[in-house]
Amino acid sequence: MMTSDINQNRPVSKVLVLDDSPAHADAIKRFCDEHNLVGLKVRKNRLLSVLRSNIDLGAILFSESYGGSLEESAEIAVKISTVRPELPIIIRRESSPTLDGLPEGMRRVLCAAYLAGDMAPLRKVIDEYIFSLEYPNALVRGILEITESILSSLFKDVSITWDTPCIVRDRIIFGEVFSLIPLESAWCRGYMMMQAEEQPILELLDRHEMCDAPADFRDLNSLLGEITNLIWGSFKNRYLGDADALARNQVQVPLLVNHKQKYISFGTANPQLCFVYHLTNEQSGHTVKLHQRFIFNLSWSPEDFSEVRQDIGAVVEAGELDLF
Amino acid sequence: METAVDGKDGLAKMKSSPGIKLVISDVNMPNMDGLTMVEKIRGELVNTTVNIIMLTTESSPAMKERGKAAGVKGWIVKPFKGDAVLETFRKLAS
Repeated sequence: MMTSDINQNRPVSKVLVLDDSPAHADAIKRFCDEHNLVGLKVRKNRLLSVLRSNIDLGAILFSESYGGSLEESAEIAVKISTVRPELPIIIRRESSPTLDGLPEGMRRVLCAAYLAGDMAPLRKVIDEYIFSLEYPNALVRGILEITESILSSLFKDVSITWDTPCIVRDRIIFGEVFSLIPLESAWCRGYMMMQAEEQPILELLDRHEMCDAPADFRDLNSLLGEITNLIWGSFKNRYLGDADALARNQVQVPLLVNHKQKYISFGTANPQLCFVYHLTNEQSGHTVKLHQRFIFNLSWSPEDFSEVRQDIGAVVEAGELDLF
Repeated sequence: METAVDGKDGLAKMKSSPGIKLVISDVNMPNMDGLTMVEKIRGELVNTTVNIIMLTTESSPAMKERGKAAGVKGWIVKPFKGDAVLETFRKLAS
């Protein structure tokens, strides 16, 4: 992984760098650092298995000579697109910043070309395909605060850490179970997903003796539902905007889920804001991963972003009984 | 102790079990939300004596006011905490 000098106050995006040229490695690394991209490399013989795994990516930086010959590079590019059709593939060429002269099959799966000496086309693609939505820093920080607080309250003796939030174009589902809940406010409408692997959560439930009998999938459903509900409630309380504006907006779109391909679509090409939390038992070292995604597919107006600041006296302190 | 899966189920349980002394309910539920259920318990069932506590993620003053107007006796914002709260539940139920 190539990371340094990245702006830690902005979400990053992971890009797979399939470019073996030592002459251009520094320029690509510098570009990644300057644009909050985390460059990942993979051995050629593991490429397709990595792409079939759950690695969240924003784009692929490819080189014309990656496969050795142009024909072999074209074959690899087409295979990548077959496995990960949502990911933009941008090709570095030696002599032309266009797709002219490339095999037809390869041209169909690439979105742009650039030269090492002029990264402008690459920057344009990154802005258009990855960082097309601006996420207010206060929102990103707020989501982390809310979620960490909720997870800490549910699981004692577990440390909660998280990866740097990232922007993802993939539609691949992590794990075997996920929850889905609409997010509605005057300035944004979409969904939040919480995704998890079944077995680690069942083991966590058993270790914490959170069920009367050995935990089963219904207990997992119940736990994930409660986590989702608590996060959603806090999000709603903190970021809900004008109720009248919200009431006028009734647009909905179908969501598409393909269980076999572990794929979910929200009817939009917009990238998703992704958080990954690690719940680690401090004694045993067992870790559970939770993926959280925000998909603002119905409306997004970050210029209208606002937080609800209520008087301390007017809000019930969470967890305490307020008798009327 | 009786449990219900949503407000509609809760209302049905209140009709079939008139001896219930304490109701602890969420607000956000499918089929019938918690506050509508409270309004129907107080209105249609004419039950003004059962103590009703809302246990919910909702914290807005407007929501609390609606609860109070509907006849809710107490409000807890999740996540739940405190043995003192459990003790209050026991007293309200006895």
